Amino acid sequence: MTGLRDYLQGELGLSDADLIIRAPIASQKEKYDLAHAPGLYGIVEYSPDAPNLIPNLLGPFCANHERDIFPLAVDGASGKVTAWKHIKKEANKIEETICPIQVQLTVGELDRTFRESAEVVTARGYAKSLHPPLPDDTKA
Amino acid sequence: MVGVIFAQRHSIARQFFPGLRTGRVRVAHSKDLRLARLFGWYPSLLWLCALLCVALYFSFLHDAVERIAYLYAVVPGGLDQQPWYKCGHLEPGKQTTVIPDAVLRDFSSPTEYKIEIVCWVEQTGATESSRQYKYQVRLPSEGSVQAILSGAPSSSIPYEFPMALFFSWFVCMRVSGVRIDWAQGLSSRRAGTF
Repeated sequence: MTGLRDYLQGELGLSDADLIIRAPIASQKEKYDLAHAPGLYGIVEYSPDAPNLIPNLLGPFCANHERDIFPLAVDGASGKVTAWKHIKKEANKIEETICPIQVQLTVGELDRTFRESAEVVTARGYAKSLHPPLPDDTKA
Repeated sequence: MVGVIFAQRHSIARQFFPGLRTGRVRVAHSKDLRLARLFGWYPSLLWLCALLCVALYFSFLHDAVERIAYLYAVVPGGLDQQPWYKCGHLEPGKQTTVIPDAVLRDFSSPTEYKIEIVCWVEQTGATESSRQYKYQVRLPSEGSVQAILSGAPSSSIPYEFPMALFFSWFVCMRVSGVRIDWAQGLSSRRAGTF
């Protein structure tokens, strides 16, 4: 495996100096509020200087408990979620707690607003970037 | 094994060198960087596991040699005088039995090796199933070990499965840990760099 690492490094055109002096830097994490869903937020991990790095989304989380939310009760007529819950998994035990957050959205609407709100944040970040990506930014 | 690793080289490359290059820097998500740091230790882990497999393989090999010597050793007299019979019929609490005049032969070797067998019983509980028959064989020389290794019938080798398992694990981990020169050569040849 040690030989394979050297071989792959050569194939990617990375020198030892690249790995030592210019070690990879972590993309930035930013919390953002979800539009039309007060009390819920998400975390987007992206790099303003590297638009080709696919952003990593985490959430949505409830701001009260800082935990993932799941539907507890759904209105049969509109499909909107009327109550939310948290799920905690521990060893062989699954614990569910009711979250008092009041968000009237369907599961699809929540997913859409979660992604669209993230896109707003990343677009703002890319626009502000002082270092526009160079032509070779698609290389690994 | 080398072929499998080479076929997986793209996934391995993503683990070793995560993220994208933008300008003169590389950017990656923090989770990927964390995984890359852990994955960097993977070759060392393979080497440690390979060493552990070698140690376990030799441990089983030595036990197998001792067991063959114990089972194949003979003494003058009838069946009830044979070491494996005497040791297998010891009563719990009885003193350790020493069989000093056992002889090892019939391993395609003209030499007869005189060995000493010490056996005893360990009782860990009240039931008969908790009784463990233990033995220790004192082989006289390295020649006797070599006679067993070269002459023991292959169908009678004890611990064959764990020995085969640890040996094959060792080979796999060793191959994974070494330089994959032929794979590099193959790739260079295909790219026309020779």
